[in-house]
Amino acid sequence: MIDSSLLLSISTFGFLFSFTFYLSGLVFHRKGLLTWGSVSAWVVLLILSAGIVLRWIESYQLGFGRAPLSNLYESLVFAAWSIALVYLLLELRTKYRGLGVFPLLFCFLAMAYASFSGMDSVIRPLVPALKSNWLIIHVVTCFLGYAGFTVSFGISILYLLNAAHKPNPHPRGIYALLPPLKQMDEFNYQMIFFGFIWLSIGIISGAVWANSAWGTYWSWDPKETWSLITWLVYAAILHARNIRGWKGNRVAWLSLVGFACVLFTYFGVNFLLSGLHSYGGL
Amino acid sequence: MQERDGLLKGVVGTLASMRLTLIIFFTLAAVSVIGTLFPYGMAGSEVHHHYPPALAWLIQTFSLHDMYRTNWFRFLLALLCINLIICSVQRLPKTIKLARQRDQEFSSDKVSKFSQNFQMTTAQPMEKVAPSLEKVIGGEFGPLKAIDSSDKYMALAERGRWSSFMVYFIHLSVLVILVGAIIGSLFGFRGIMNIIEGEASKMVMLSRGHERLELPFTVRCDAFSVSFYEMGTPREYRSDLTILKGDEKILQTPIRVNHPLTYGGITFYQSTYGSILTSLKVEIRDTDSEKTWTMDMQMRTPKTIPGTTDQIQVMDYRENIAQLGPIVIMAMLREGEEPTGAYILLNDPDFHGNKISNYHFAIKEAETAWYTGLQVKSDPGVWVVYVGFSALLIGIILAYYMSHRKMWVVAEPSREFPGRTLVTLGGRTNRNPLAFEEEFRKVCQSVEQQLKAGENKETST
Ligand code: HEM
Repeated sequence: MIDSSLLLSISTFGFLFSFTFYLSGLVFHRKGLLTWGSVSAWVVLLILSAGIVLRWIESYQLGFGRAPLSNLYESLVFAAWSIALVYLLLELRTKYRGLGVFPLLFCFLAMAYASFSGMDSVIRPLVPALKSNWLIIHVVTCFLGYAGFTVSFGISILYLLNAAHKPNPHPRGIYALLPPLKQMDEFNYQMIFFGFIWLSIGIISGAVWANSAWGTYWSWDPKETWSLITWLVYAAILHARNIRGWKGNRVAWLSLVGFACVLFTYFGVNFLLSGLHSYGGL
Repeated sequence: MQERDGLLKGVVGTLASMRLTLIIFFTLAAVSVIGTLFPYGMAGSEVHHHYPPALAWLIQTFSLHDMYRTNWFRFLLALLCINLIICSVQRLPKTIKLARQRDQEFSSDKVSKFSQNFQMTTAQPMEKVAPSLEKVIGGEFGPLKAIDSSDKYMALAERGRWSSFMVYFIHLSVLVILVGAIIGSLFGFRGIMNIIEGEASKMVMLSRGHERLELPFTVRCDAFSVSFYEMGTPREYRSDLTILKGDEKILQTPIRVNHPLTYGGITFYQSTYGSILTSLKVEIRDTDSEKTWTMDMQMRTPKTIPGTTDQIQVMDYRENIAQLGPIVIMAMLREGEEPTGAYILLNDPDFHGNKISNYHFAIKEAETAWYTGLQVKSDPGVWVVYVGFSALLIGIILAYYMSHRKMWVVAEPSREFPGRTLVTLGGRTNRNPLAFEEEFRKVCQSVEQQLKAGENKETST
């Protein structure tokens, strides 16, 4: 019998394969391998989608149906799904395949972390505070934003590596299959703007939800504050690029800073800040 | 005088600059990071409890535990608004001028150097080329407007001329959100109301300070219920509320988590619940004299033990502490001594710890009642904030998709190939060059096909 956890395990390994294709395609400059990476990533995305839908159905079979988006395990799975989707859509539009290494690596890491760290993967009912359609809107939009920033992070790393080797006018090897620097910079900006839009929707939907559930749209809790910090950093990048004409390396470095904020908003707040608070109590 | 003007210009220039914007963005981000390191809303006395003296001094001096309400944080936000307003006011006239501006002369030399460009020659004469161009470009990109010229055909098509106003809309919406937040903090309130099942109340305990606020109506909790999943986690809490004005019933409705009630601009949210002690029958034994008394007690109402001046009082009731079951905290006040207290277990009357000084307490009967915990708030600014939210989202989504795209077209007799017509197309965009490149290429292809088709028709006739 196929169940959601089987499909999720297949996806985990699928992403590993796909990442390996992308990486070896770049390293050995073989376009064919990149195509394999792309095809396999689409297939895995389909399998993962089926897995997520199945998990949703299973929750109904358990008698309390709810969207599979409400604990760390499920959010990691959804993070992998959104990164894969956003990256593949970028690929479809730009027709460059060389940028898939980091997005697929993160897809794999998210799935692997969800599956192998002994995290609680049981489907549990929601506590009353989370029972709201806003939950779905809020989580989906935030993660699409994070996915955009993750893809931008991947582009930025490749950009910085590539730019460091610029003296060589005919890049061979790893950089041969990457888009020209100017294009990468443009894609990077578009991914940042894309992420910024979704993060804005995510923050605002969270605020509206908080207001409808307990009466304040903003209460400066650490998670909220960190998402605002992330948002400010990306707003700064957009302005710096647009008005002060910062391009290329500077935007790439700032995108790395922004991504660090994303990671902290997602993991750090849960693990470190709550930790700080409990140490504070000793 | 001049010096003063110079200074003023300098200050305004700084206040309008993008450098200041970036500094504010990063400063706001950095201080927010600091803010999240310290529990927000911790009381001043707690700070000294939790942190070493030097750090506690720092925290208190800059109010790091309550940063978002400090004046210096507000100053940063105000500076952002000023920056935004001055910058917009300075840029707006330029944007309007740019949007109004119409191109005058342009030459094929100039157009062929634009970032997108295309050139071809055709055997068709200029008079025939112009309508073809208008048809193709008008259909695929946008209406071509011809510009008067004596010896050549010159025309311009553009889209999204007004898109450069989008950022003003975005920035205005940021200001609207902040204004809404200010309205809320000036004219709104937040607090909690704990109402015992079957009882009614008008008083709200405000979350800031220790003030109480009297509502212009009464809220009664007719019933409270909580249901659980099989696994033991709560499924739902629900309170049946009635709003009363005097004796008149205005409204009767249940509320649940995520399903609040709003009346008269004030919203009630189901927040918590609990049970409280309403009365207690307790047997007190003096372990020295072995005398016993049975007394009825109420929460927080002191009673004197007969024949003594010792006063006892029930301070608190907890449903479950450390797996010991329900307890009350009993305190005793004896003349000339500090007050003393102890946990008294309800379920274990003989427990040796049910004791203060020479008195042993055994609870004989306890009556409890459910209370429902409601969050109460009024925020007249929330609709302003929501309008700002919507405008911001619409603004940034449109800004992402909209761009100012322009195509320049020149057709003139070719100097290189006499008798032929030279057609030059040029294109520019202020955003998303990739998408534009593709669009431009398609338009050029169509133009080429159309002109070639025209040539063929001409040769065949
Ligand atoms: C939280 C506050 C702000 C938000 C959310 C915001 C948002 C935006 C967005 C989304 C854009 C378009 C970016 C792009 O095209 O890549 C933009 C452009 C711009 N912003 Fe802001 N902004 C804010 C504050 C400011 C401030 C304080 C200034 C003050 C100088 C400013 C000046 C500008 C300018 C000059 C542009 C470019 C306009 C153009 O391209 O013609 N912004 N802003």
